[in-house]
Amino acid sequence: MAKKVTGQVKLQIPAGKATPAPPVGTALGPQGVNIMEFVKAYNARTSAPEQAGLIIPVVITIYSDRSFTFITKTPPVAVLIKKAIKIERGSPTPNKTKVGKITHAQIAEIAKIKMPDLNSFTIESAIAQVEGACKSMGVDII
Amino acid sequence: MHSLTIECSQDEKDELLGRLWELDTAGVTEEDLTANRVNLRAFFSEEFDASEFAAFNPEWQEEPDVDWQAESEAAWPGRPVGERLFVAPPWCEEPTPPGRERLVINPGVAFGTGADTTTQLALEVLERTVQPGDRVFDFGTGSGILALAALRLGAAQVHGCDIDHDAVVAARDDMPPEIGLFTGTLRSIQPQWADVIFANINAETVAHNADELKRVLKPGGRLIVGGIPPRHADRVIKALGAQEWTLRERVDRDIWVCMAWEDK
Repeated sequence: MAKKVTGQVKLQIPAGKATPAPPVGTALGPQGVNIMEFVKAYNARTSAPEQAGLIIPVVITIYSDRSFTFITKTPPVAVLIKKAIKIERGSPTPNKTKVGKITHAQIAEIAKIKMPDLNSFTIESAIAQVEGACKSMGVDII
Repeated sequence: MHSLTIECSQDEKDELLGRLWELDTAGVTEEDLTANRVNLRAFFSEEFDASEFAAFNPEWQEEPDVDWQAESEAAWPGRPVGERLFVAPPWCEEPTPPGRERLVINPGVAFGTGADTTTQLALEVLERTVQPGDRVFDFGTGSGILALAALRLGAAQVHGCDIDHDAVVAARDDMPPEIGLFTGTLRSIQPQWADVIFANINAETVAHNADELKRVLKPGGRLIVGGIPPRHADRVIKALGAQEWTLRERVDRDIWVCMAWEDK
């Protein structure tokens, strides 16, 4: 079909839990997209057990007839760190108060997940980015 | 519902998003301002003291209470197309106007919802081209809307293909079992199978597949090509003219051209 792109929308929503409420409705409603169809498709694509509890960003491309396609991205680093070491939040004063510990193996695992979406050409620089995020959250690397 | 908008750089984004999720946001929209600056708009049930985001121009906004599902459904009214067709989504309760065939299409991940000129033009030309009893092939079927129109207008057999597998899977949900859709190209079709072929795709694909279209079309068969911007029309006319087909009809509307050709 003769497709023409008319818009793009970026959202961060919890895996498998999209609803027509904001932010989905607020972002897609004014574009005239069939919101329920997006909700259904996003939840179907993010319903794997290992995705549960994660934030899965999505980039939606909208075409001239208000049909759409979407790609999912990897969760934010901070969300992956918190999930890996089972903490609720980062430290408001990361230099003084530490909220948890993370191993090099866990950092490498997160770097591997994030690789497709990072500006890194090597796993080493991806690891360095994840380590930086740990430091600014008050998570000690052991 | 309230939204908190903050502005940051791409490097700061991830950490801020982590914090917004700690604060239990319902979700965040992201808007690129420049290559490196981005607006994050996070939704919360209640406003709170956002002074921790003071460095990022925090701004609260009250969000109107909108039933987005109802709004979204209302954005898809039934739509008469051409002389004989009526395109409607599954939830539309509007009766089909007399003398028209209803095409039920659930607008989604497949192009061809019926809301765009290129699809409407192809449907109009198709009404005048398809005859009862025809074998029809829809090349680049998208939502399957043209295939469905052909069936409703009396075609005996209808098949279609698309290279977008997600579109094919979605389209199959809307199509009656008589219509066979598959992921792939014209190569899977026997020589001289079709009385009519639709190719509402783009100029390059049509020109590139002119030989294949010739192979699949019966002698004396008809071809509808659409999705062609006017500036590319000559290229298509040259490629199809080289197959010794005759241009029967050309319609220009908005930024699109649709043509009907005959093997004669």
